[in-house]
Amino acid sequence: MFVKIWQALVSGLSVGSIYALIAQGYYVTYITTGALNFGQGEFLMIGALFGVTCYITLGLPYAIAVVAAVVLLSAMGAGLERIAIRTTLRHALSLSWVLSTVAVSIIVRNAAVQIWGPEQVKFPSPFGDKVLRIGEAGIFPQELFIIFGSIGTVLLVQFFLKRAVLGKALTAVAYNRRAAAVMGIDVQRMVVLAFVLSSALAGLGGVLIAPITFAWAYMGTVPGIKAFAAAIIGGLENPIGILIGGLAVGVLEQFFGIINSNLKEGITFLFVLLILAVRPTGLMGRKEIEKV
Amino acid sequence: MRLPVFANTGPRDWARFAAAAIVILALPLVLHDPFFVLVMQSLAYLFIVSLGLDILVGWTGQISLGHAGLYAIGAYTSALLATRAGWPFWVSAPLGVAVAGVAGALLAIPSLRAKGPYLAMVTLAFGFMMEVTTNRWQSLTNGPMGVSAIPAPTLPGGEEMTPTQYFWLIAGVALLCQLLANNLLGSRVGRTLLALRGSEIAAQSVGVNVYRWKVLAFVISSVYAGLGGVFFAHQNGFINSDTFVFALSVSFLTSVLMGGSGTLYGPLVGSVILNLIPTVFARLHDYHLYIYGGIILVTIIFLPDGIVGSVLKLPVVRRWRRPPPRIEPEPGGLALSQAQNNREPVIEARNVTRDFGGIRALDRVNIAVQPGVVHGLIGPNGSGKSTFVNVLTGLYPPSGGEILLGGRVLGRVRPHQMAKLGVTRTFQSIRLFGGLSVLDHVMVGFHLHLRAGVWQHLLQTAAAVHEEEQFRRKAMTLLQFVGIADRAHEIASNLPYGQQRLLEIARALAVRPRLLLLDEPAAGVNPTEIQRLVKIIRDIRDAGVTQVVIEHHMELIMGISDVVSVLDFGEKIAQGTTAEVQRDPKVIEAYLGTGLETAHA
Amino acid sequence: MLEVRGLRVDYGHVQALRGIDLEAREREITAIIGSNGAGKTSTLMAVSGLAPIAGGEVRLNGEAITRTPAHRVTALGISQILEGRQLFADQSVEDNLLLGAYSRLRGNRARVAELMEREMDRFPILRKRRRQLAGTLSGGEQQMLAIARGLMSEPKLILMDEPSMGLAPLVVLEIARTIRALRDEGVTIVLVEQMATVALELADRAYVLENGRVTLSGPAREVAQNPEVKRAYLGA
Repeated sequence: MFVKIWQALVSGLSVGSIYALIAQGYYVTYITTGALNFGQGEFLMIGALFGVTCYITLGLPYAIAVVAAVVLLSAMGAGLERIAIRTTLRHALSLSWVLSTVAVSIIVRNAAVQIWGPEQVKFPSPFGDKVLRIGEAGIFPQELFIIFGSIGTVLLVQFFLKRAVLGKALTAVAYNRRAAAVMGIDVQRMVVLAFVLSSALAGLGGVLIAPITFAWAYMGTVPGIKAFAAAIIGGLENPIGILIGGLAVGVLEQFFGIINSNLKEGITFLFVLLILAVRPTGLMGRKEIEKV
Repeated sequence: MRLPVFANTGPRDWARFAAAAIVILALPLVLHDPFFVLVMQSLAYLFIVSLGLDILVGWTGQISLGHAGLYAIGAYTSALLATRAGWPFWVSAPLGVAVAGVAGALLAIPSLRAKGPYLAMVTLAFGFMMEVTTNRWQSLTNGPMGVSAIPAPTLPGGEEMTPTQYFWLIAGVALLCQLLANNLLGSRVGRTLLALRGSEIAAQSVGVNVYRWKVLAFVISSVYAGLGGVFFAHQNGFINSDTFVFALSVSFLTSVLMGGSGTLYGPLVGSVILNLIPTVFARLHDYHLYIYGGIILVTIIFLPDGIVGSVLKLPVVRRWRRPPPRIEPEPGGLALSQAQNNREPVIEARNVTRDFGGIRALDRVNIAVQPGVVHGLIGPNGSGKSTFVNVLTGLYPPSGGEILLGGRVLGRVRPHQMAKLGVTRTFQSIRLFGGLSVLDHVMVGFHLHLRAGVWQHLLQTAAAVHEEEQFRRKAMTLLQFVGIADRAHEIASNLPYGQQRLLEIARALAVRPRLLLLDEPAAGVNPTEIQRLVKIIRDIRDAGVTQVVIEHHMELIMGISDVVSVLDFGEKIAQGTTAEVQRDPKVIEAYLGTGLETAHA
Repeated sequence: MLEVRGLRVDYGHVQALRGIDLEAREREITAIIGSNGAGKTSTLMAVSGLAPIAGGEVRLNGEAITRTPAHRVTALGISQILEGRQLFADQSVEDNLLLGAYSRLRGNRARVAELMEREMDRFPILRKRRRQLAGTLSGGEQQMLAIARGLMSEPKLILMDEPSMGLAPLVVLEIARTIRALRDEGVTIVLVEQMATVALELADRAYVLENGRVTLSGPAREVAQNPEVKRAYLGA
């Protein structure tokens, strides 16, 4: 039993760190615009499939495939902002962006089916598939790479936001748009930057995760939504909360997977509903006091 | 002559519904194609779901990304009862609807306080949970293999309905659903939901229990979704987990937005168009998702009001609509207040403290408001005046100290309960109810005094209709009192600033308060309107309503107040008559200002 | 220096400004007073590109800058110090100052460091608190930081919105002293103030706004003597 739990923890962390990576993307756009990309999972899928094209079809090195996917997704992020966000943010129905990003995700998924076909593609890990042993539990080198890569990237994003001037400007826009504009910061450009960053993270998530799952056009939706749930559980405006939320969701699923594989699929959603009933802004979210 | 129910449905409406009924009867007879009848059945039940969804989206401003889950509950409940237990459609169907309604009530709980993406997550998580349940709980749902041999409904004789008869049933129920939705949304219920959507805080200030009304909207919406699901199950004869997916929820939402959320007939138009599109584009199989995604995008970006909403906004259509009837104010004047029967202070703050994070906005404030007075409250910006009002009206619980109402210590009281206790307010930054008319704002203000409930409005009983008419006249009297009766039928947000403030006062007076708190009523109001405001405040006092007035406008506050309290840095630094306060050196220093000569040094 | 002609601002159906003429002369303090909602803040925001201009014209040194987006206005040498301070509360004092210089930051780190030193000399308390988060400062310190941040872009013209809000009288005096010193350094200042006494004493010229219109203007001393103004705003 102990071995099972240990194993679940290890696998949970690797899946969870991907959730955390995607969710970090939600965080960046949410704090700057109040909106997020509901097609983040589809962007992850594009990252994975484009990785396949680069790494397998074209035979490029894995590192190049990673960079290529990130670049492609950055461009897609800028496009998404232009098409689905800028056009809808001023609408009376405050959640129009939900549907507009969903619409983009539908189109993206259909395009993926046409380009790469509907089949699952195997993406062999560049680190081989020799199982490493951590105590009694086994872990693939790719999983280890995912954990370190994702958490490292999340920390890097935080470092960017806290230390780089551009990051500070982005943080300023997030905190107070009006004051930022008065400082001479081009708010619109920062919003584009936020979506570029967010999409790049999804693309990175895709090339990281593809070797331990399969790459195919329908791989993204569920991780995208679960990462959203993780962000909500942690609290959308709290990056640390999101990181913990992502890892927690990953581990939680694996634990419930021990009990019953059907429970594993639904537990995250049940969990997020229970949490929202008690804490409407997530476990570590800011408690809003409406100013009257 | 007035019917005991549907008392508000006029001859034109009856004619319209009769015409619809005739079309429904005639359609399958004229176009006698089995496929066509099937499509028509689907259109009818998908329409029912959209109509219910619009009650959430258009009227309460809640988004639902999980309506497929509620639809699934209706479908599975009825299907399983019919196939496993062998219960007839007429028993299993209502049960399916009821279970969906209960699920909606449960779903409302996490939705109540969540906002924005958090709110989107609630319905999304629910939808996915149902998706997983239908897929994985195989002992119950049989997963992707599904439930088959679901019987069609039977006629009284025991034989199964033909597809045409079943279409008549679904479409007839859909027609009834529209009729009931019109009743609900055109009445007090729709008005209250719109008020909540416009401003929860303002709605609470006139006594609306936000939680209860949101739950109601969720339940109604879920009942409609469940009904659609039931009809689907018994149409198809087979249901499996592939149907009840996120994409279906998206399609429901799209049809509402495409038709026009918040319009009575938007869901009808939207669901008919959206669900006919796949039939039209069936041959372009590889591209239909592009088309579908494109349609959603175009709708969202270019038609934010939807088809019906956009048409209604056309000047031609607006001119063509009938002008609203003239409403005569109720003779016999004004009943502004509830009876005052003691000499205790109306409200008293004892040592009230309020902290925000580390900042102390109120520091052991003691203020007693005597009955029948105008109690001025002044102090520099940021001195805690608004916080004080927010604490008195139950919006923020005090961090320390206690509040006494008519001599009784209050526990934790929520804003809508404060309204019930006779304490209401206006707002410094005006809080109106979105697109509601001026008259409707006052009608929402009467919330606590209206007796006819949801059921009576659902059926539009003669009593409910009569009550509405009576209160509309009372509302006109109040509007006349504040001097904006001539604008009763305008959208309130189109009024100039000063009149919006007067409307807030009228809305608050509709509560018939014992204590009325006015938070900067003169801000942004022009000098002529200020004269009117002064008179209104005096008239309200003469009618026996106690008032607390926060103002910066010195002339106004000194002209109307019987007592003035002065706050500075969250502390009360002075209290007395206007003359006393104006002489007080502390007040002069803190607020009215001393010379700056020291600054030259 | 700054000239405003027939300026109108609408928010939806609400008219905040109904045609305002206003002028701020070089090296002068121009005060705008009036009650809440009279349009004082809207005037500043229209100049700085934060409010939607429905009509009229804004000129800076004779050049039209009407409807220039906010982030470009800063680069023209106009700095707005917003009502309620509007600091980046979750960033440090230093970062706030740094962001204040954002519009001229590129390739000019040394100058920015100099400016930062200059502001910390002006407000020594900020040097002490340089690594603290802006949100943890006291009200007075926050207002000083807001002013310092606004000065980091080396503006020729400063638009100040209610610098006295929520401050103790002594702190108000200190801020007033700073404003006067800034003018003496050669900065042009437009000051919006609720505390009419303070504003009229500080200012060279003054405008009284009521309901989106200018109802009175002239040298500050004269405005302060006007009986209407005395009654309505000076509490006399």
